[in-house]
Amino acid sequence: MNWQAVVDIAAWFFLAYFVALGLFYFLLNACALFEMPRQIESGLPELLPRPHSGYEPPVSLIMPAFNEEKTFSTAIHSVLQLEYPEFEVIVVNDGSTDGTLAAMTREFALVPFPEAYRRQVDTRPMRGVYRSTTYPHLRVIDKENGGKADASNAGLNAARYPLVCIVDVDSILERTSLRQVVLPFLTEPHTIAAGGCVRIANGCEVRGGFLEKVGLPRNFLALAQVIEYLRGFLFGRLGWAPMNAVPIISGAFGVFRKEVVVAVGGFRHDSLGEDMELVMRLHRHFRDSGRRYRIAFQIKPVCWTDAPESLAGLSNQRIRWQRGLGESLSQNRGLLFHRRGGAAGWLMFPFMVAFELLGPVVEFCGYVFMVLAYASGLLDAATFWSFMLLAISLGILLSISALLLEEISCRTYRQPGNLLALVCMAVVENFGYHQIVLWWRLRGFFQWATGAPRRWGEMKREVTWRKG
Amino acid sequence: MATWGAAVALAVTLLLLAIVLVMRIRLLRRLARERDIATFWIPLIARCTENGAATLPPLKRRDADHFVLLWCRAQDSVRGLSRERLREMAQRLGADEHARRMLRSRSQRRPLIGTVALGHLQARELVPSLQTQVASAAPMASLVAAKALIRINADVGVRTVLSTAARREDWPLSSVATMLKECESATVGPALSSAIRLAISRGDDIGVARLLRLHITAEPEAIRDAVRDVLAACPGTEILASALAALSHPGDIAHARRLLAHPEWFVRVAAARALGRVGDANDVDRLTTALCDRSWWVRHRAAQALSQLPGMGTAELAEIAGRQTDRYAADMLRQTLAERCAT
Repeated sequence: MNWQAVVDIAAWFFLAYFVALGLFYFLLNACALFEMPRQIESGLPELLPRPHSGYEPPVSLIMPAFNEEKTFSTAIHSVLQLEYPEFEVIVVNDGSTDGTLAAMTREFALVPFPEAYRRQVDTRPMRGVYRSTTYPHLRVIDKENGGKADASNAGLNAARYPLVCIVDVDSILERTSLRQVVLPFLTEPHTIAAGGCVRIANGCEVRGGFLEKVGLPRNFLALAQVIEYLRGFLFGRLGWAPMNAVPIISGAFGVFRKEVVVAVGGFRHDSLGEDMELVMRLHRHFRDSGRRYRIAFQIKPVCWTDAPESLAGLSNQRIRWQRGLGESLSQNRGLLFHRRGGAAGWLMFPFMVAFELLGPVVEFCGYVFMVLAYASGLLDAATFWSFMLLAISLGILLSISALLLEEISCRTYRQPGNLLALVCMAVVENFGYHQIVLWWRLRGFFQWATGAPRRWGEMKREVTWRKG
Repeated sequence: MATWGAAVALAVTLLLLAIVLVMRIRLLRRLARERDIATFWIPLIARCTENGAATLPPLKRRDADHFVLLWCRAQDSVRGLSRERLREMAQRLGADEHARRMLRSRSQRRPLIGTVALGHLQARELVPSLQTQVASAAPMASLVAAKALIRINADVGVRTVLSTAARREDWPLSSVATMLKECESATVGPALSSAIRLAISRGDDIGVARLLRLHITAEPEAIRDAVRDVLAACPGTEILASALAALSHPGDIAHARRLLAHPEWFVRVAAARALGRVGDANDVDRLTTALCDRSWWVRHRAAQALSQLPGMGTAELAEIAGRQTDRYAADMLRQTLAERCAT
């Protein structure tokens, strides 16, 4: 076989891969469109009898915090003001080395509390439990550093209610978010987990824990992430929901049935993507045992989160996410083509392996190969430019289709200028930003594949959206 | 192939973009129109609820949909005479006829709004069709129909709602309870009691448990016999726990005392909670023993129940904690004491 034949075969392979990727995402879009009317219908609460308090299951909100001295206040105030009949807030100070605990003690008037602590899941040793004298349903667990998964597990041990909601300390919830995200537990008794939409808070105005004004960030990287989050949540997750194959519930905002999480051993310490790993494990566990279950995703409840605005912060996050994806999939590989795997084992898992895990490798190789083949004269200009055009136009198509889903469902960004900015960004992000993210994901993939030492990395928070 | 693929992708992108822009323009126009309608009609609706309508401007047909929605919201927020005044207002404006037209609409949203409005207007001729609609597979449509049915005919509505709530797990009990709370408790109590007995006779365990959870919508005395029958029948553990949650008469305390030794931990939890509500000084030893239960939840509820018993003050609780030899029991009582002091 000569070089030309090899190049032709490779070109066809990359072309077919890109087309398959686009088609699969487009099918996910169709599934999301199928699921959306059901969720929008349930978004007409004024027509329904107002829920009578006392039937919503009480919820324990768990907020792991590590060195959040400057950021915890807004997030905790936001959850303390939730519209929900019965909930408790458990902040887990995961061995912070700054003044997080002292600042919390001052702000919430914490006093030591003799908690009858239950060790259901193993964690690093606990140093103490505190209770707020100003907010009786707020407790703070102080423990030795063990990472986010370990802190979440400590929160699980201290949680008193049947549902636990994990919320990041760099995020804020809308007042109705908890009530909305719990809905699947009320209408479908087999629901074991439910997640809501996560959106970018940069550019919004937040005061005293309240989101006062929705806006778009001025920072290019943050604006590009707005489009990415729309894609990721509106069809990357909603599309899998009707098949009961939601691959991930964001660690920033997700509700779980506590007894189920405890039964599978809580969050894993040895995974950088502990949120995805847990969801994959729940799929595997329930598919294995043949028990009926549902993992739901809701578009209406929203959690606003801080997005990194610097290249260093973003690269750190994306490398970690890709590595976490690899770990989650490899740690739960038993789900792949499991005989009782259903859509989770036969569709979602292979999709995640083929397009999300291996995607950066194939895509990167595709770009490099095409450029080299074109430069060496083995590939004609028409084929090269057609390939490039296809890759970029598919990217734009997926971003615009996410905007369409957003327009049908939530219409969060209502100012006319916002829509224009998002449309422009849906085009522009495909020229440079997408390729940089691809490079970081590739690094994350190789870190996972080679078993490089894990580290969470330092997150430098800009937090331009808090006003007091 | 790549060229064609790119061309198709770009064409679809442009099409989607056009759809997005058209949708956005329509949304902005609709929001502006709704804002105008609200600015004009909300003050009039408010005046009508207080004083009744003296003179009313004509309701433009293109404004009628949003007016009906605003009117329904107002109906949900008022009681008594104000509701009557709002009904009169709707009839004078012809909104009742418009709501009937909305029922025939092919859209998903308009028939639902029409149903709610006609429920508020007590359109009796709709009862048979609403009873059919309650059985609709779509939870939203069925709940809206149930709400309208209860507004029009409480007796028929309560019976229909209870029999449906027993078997429909997609009906949130919080919504059912709100509907039932709007009715006279004298209507709900006997109907709930009959529904529980019927579900028992059918062997419908899930239905019995769901109906028992609606106990807060009825007078305790009205469902006491049904609850006692359930407890005496020794049914499944889920039902036992639900029945214990509905137990509120001191005369039935023997059941709670007996079930505090049940093998299933969540039945023991429910029994401890019941003793917290109806227990007396005779239950101190029983609950103190439960403080050493192997389940954290039983210990927790037993400690709370102890603190709720008549005559049980902080000093008494501290004294019980002080003589505990079981560390778990002492820890739990100390936690309960701290919580009591904090509140």
